[in-house]
Amino acid sequence: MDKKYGVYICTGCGIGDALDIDGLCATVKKARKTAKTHPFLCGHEGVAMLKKDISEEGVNTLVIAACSRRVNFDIFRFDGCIVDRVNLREQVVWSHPKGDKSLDVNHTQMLANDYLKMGMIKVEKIQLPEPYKLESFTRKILVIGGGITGISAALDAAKIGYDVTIVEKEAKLGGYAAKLRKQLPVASPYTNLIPPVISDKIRELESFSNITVKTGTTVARIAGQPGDFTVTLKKPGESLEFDVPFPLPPEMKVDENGKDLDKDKLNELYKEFNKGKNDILSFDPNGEKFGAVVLAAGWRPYVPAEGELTHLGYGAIADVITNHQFEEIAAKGKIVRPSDGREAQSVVFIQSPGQGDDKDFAYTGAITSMVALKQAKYVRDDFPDGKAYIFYQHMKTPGLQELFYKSLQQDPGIFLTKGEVVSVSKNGSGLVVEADNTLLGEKIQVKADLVVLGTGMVPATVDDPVVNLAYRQGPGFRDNAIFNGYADSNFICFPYETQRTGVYAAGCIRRGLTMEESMEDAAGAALKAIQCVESTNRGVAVHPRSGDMSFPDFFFQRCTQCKRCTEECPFGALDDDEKGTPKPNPTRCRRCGTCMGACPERIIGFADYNIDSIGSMVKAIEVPSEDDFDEPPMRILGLVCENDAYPAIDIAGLNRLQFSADVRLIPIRCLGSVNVIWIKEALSKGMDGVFVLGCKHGDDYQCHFVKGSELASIRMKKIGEALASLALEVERVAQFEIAIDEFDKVPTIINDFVKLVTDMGPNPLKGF
Amino acid sequence: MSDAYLVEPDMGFIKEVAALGGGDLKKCYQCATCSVVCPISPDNKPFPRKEMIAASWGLKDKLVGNADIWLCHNCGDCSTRCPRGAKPGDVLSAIRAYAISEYAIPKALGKAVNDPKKLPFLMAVPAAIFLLIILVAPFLTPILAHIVPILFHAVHEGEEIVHSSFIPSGFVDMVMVPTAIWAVTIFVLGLKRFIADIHANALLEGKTDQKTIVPAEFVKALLRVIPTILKHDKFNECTDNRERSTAHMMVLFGFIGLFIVTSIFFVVMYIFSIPGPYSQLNPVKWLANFSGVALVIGSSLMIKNRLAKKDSVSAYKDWALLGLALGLGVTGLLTEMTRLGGIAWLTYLLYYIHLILIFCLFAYLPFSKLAHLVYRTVAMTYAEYACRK
Amino acid sequence: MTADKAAPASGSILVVGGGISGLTTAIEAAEVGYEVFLVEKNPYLGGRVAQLNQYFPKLCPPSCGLEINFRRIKDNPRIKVLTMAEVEKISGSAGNYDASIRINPRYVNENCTCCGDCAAVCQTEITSDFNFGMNKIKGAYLPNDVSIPARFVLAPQIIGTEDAKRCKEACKYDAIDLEMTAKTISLKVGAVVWATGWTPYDAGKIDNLGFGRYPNIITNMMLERLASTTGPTCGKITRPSDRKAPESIAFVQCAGSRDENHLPYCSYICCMASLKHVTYIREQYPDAKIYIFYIDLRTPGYRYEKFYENIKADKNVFFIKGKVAEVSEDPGSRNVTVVAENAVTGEKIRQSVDMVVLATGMQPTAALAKLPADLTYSEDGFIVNDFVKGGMFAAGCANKPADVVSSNQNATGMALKAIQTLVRR
Repeated sequence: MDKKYGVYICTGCGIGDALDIDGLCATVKKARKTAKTHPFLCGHEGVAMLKKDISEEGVNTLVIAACSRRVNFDIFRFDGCIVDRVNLREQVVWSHPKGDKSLDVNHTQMLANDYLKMGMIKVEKIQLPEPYKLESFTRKILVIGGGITGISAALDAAKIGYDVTIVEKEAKLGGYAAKLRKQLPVASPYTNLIPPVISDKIRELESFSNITVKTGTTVARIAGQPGDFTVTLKKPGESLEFDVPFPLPPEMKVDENGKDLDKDKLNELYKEFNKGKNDILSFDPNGEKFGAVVLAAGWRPYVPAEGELTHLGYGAIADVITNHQFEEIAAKGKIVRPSDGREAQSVVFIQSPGQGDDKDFAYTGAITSMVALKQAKYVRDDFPDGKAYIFYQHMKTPGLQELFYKSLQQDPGIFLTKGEVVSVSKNGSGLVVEADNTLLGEKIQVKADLVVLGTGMVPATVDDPVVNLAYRQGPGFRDNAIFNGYADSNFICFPYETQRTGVYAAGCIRRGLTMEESMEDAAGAALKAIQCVESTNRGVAVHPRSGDMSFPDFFFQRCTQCKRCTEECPFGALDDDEKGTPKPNPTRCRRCGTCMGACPERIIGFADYNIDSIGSMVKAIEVPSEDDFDEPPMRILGLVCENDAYPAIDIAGLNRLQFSADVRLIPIRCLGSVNVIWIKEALSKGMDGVFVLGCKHGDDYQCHFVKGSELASIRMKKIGEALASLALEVERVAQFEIAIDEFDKVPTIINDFVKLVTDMGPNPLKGF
Repeated sequence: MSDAYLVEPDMGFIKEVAALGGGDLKKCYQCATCSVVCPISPDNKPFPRKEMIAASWGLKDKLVGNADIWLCHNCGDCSTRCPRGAKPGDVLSAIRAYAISEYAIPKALGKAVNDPKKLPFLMAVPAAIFLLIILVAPFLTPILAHIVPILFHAVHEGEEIVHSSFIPSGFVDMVMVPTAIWAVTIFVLGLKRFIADIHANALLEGKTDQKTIVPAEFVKALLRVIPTILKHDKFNECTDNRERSTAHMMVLFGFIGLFIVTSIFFVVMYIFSIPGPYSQLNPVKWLANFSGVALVIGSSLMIKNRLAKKDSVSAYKDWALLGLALGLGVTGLLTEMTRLGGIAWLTYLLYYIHLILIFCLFAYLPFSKLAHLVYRTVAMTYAEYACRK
Repeated sequence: MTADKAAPASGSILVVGGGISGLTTAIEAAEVGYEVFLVEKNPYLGGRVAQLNQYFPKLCPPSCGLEINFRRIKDNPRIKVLTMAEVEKISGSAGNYDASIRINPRYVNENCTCCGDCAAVCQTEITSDFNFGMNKIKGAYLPNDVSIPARFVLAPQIIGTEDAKRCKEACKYDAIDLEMTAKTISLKVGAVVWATGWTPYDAGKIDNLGFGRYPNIITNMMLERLASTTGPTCGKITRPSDRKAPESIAFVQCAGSRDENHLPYCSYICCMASLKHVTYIREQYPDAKIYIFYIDLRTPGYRYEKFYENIKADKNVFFIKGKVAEVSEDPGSRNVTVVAENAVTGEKIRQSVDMVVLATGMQPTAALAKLPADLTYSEDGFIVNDFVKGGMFAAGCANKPADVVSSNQNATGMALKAIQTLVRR
């Protein structure tokens, strides 16, 4: 589109009092653009003026120099127009002293001036994004797992008209929910066990024509991208040419003396490693098309390792079993002992392996406490004089399940105590359980016919990727390691936000959940899957940049096939070919720009956010030199993450906290999108320092693009070396962490860095 | 195996305690609020939390021979504060009732006393005895009168109504004295086991440093606790229903007063051979009347309290005792009044009932809730002796 | 916003409550493509989590997630936000409800630019409910730094006073409208999601725990505000009586929860909250002694277990199995002694500390004031969902006590349930 520019300066909220507006208008004139000022631009009159210019003057590219873009967003949104907001309020006049207009050195004025120039150049360099449209698109939803979660998810999606296919590896539907005698209550009043709800669910399922069920089936591979996945299904254990290939393990990528192997060698090894499997880029012609995936593959019972629980007699004594084995016995009929088939009238349930720790068994969550209560009730139901003992460290019946606990404990034959079980031993045909630190005030022994260990539920993702994504980065979720192997989300606020767009985990594969919780989780995952296909269809990004229509564009002629973008993309959106040329999958993309930051050739960019737009903003900053000043003020560039850091700085301004006016801040999508070229340019044009400001990284990372600040820190180190070669102090480039609520730290972070740079003296390259 | 304690829950025990008013015991989830809010629970091994888990595990032997259940004065603070509604106060009092019938032999009688269905039978026994006496008295009295005139003096002239002319004192004492002896015997037997048990239990649970029981020291301890009991200090520490303290005090002093009166007149009659009825101006008589009134008012107040308290259970054992106390007082006073009022048939009838109640008091004392008089005293004495703080 | 502007009944969903659950339901539904009305009674969005300093177990600031959600709302014209608004009445049936919404006067209109001139001249100070009465704020104030709408509000207390006039005169943008009155609007919606959330249980009702009697006994939510940079002490944790830095702190778990005299259920979050509070205190006071009195420690799920493991490693944190049932104060030092029985050792513990934190639980807001709609409640006032009937659903803590993660899973699911109602008809 050919642009007609309009620059509008608001003089309200103290901007007019603090700044020389005529001076700013002159700057606009110099840029051969027309400036208009208004005392109250966001007011009806001001907005009317803007609308008039748009409709009558045909202005379609607006620079609004007023408040932060975080406020009055709706007021300054004009369809079909490029709008950039120059933050003269929060980050200039509210956070800096009112400059003396008479003086020739007026730092606040210089700051405003630069920001205005940066805004004007930016709008020259960006375009309105056009939504990305898939050639072929489907709304069908694939549900992996036919247990309570999978079935609920399928029903919930089918109810609003979506076609759903459930794949279940077992011969029949139902999963573990179908293997129970009774289950925990799923609704108020939570006082009694109920018959398993799964049978009703399966019955309901049959009434839906838009649900296809494929039992005895697993996923060989899921290729493509949201809205257009090509899925190959297979029988369990079967091996196909469309089984998903695995990336080379790190140890295979180096030679005997630890040197990285070259590309061709790697390709060769990769082919070798995945013999008989087609590469991810070749799609299964007979594959089924799906738009999004719900991962509800559930769990398997934990099996204690050889010698892991010898002190509890597990393995050595036949009548020491897991809660899962107990459930199998209970589902068959009266509770009997595995050893001799005699009725088990006295059963001890152990919740914690003990040995000086109050931890429960692995992978238990809070579920096993409730299961123990449930199974204790079985004993009572089967035998009028039956006795059930529960040794717990912490009785975990959170929330309303407390009411279940209260109801069950009143059975005269259920005996509960906190305590550490020290041993389980044989005593004739029976068993003796010995426990210490109990509430009965001494070391006690209990005679038992059967001992049940409250072992946990291992998520399917611990054993294999399950989803088998045909992605270059590998077939599974990447960061399950930090979630103990669960396919969980890292984010408290966004439980369905994972590293693989269009694939949403639900149920016990993400965390130990009750059936009530699993059914709720299923509905949530179903909604996210539906939301993903709809967003894909509209050509917009999903959370966290939901609604963003931009997507990365590659200038392949200059690609050197370095593979960095493919490797660094947090969402595995890129699949490179043998030569290493990346193949973008825009609907997997979350628009963070990490690829753009990674690309050494700078061939990746977005319509409204690219190397040139930011680079030009950097160039637009005036760097005062000895020619104009005997003591030129410092110029420091701050690249700040727009998700946490930028708001924090706004809030600092809102609270009128003051910080140095020698710093020029540029909001960026994510620190991962920072391309070192911007930093080099800043320094080579004589700026005295550069810092990037982003969020906390590490295991509890807060970056919604996963690795942004981590990648930035790696790149900062690299650039440090480059600086050294230019005889520049590495300290001139720094990275700081800030959380959105740490706005009070903003002045310290900025001023301390300015002081550090000032002490180092001006950038020697200045003026060259 | 090791020194560990082999736990064998007795579900029968749990059911019995429930039947005796501890029906909510299984609700306990061991938060120990009760041990903290109890105003008289010690800091070392406080009660009733540990009693609650022992009860819900059906560990009879940890409870019956446990002095702590007797230190509890059932003020109800724990029950009010209990977050689970397990009512520790009621559970302990139920356990006490159970313990009483455990120590008093024959056990069958103990069970009967706590069983409302057996009440008619238990009342029938004295009723029959005294009826028999009334029937045979006219024939036997003249003969016996020759042998011990003071006890069986012939009906003398005059307007005045004399109960002994209806049922001569001799016959009454022939029944009451053995009954009293029987009661004492049962207590002695029970206490022997009781003291041994509570000491063993205290040692096991680490509640005392005293290895053995030195009788002399034990008696000294008794003398130290008696004032506490009489002053009702423990009752007064309780916040939830303090008013109980006064009522209980009246009943206790009522009984003590009547006991003293009875003893004095016993002496007067058997040593100084002065037959009753005695003048209303006689100070002993004042004490008698005063005690009678205290008994009536006290027991009535306690009945009122129990009816008012919705959050704690009142079992048969409680009503039986209060009923007896009130009955004794009322019939006693009415007997006297009607005698003075000169309504012969009525006063004789009341006297008859009064005698029945007195018999019940003595004969069933070791089995009824009233036995707490003895067991609590001993338990408190032991606590004092064992320096349970 | 009035009825005629509303979307056709088929299309729109009414979400009641702008806390984290309500925000989630509203945004997730809108991003599928449905029109949503989000009604919040406070002058700001964010609800209970806006008062939190950090989330467990990541110790990240709630304002981070809120900022993202607010941006999602800003970028999504399908969501209409109504603050200071309460539902007066819901009539009709699943798929076709008439909702009348009362919008209380903010006395500040959309002209407000947040310049703050009104606050500068306002002299009246009102106690801050947001900070649980621990400090005073101006009668003209910005309710929250990040929340939308970014607009000041005038406290009803100052209306009709000189202050109100002063504020009006100070405003350059004619944003203050003292004539503003409550108005009722009506909306036609197809489904309603109640995300009315929870209220901290009134600790004053737990008379044996001394809250309100002794100044150095505070609640867990008060500690959140004390630890927050936007709180009454700008993030410095000090004890109320003398602003002294506490050297010893006791946490009383289940203060009101799991107690049939108060809240018979478990409030789900208090154990984790107290463990999180340990990290707040530890960050500021490396040597402070911390005592946690509990009945059962409930840390459901691998992430919470891991968090608890880390706290256990701290040698100056002591866990005692036994509920505190008695407190007393030393009038001189104002220190508090808590009493509990260690149920494992059978010893009564009398621990004297500088400050006591009551881990009070959550009570469904709907239990305190029944909602003007045909809903089924549990004994404890939680809304019971009837998915067969459909139409109206409860999300988050209006439905059951839960942490933020579970609430958001639940709230996302409820968005789909609401959509099912719209599609069904």
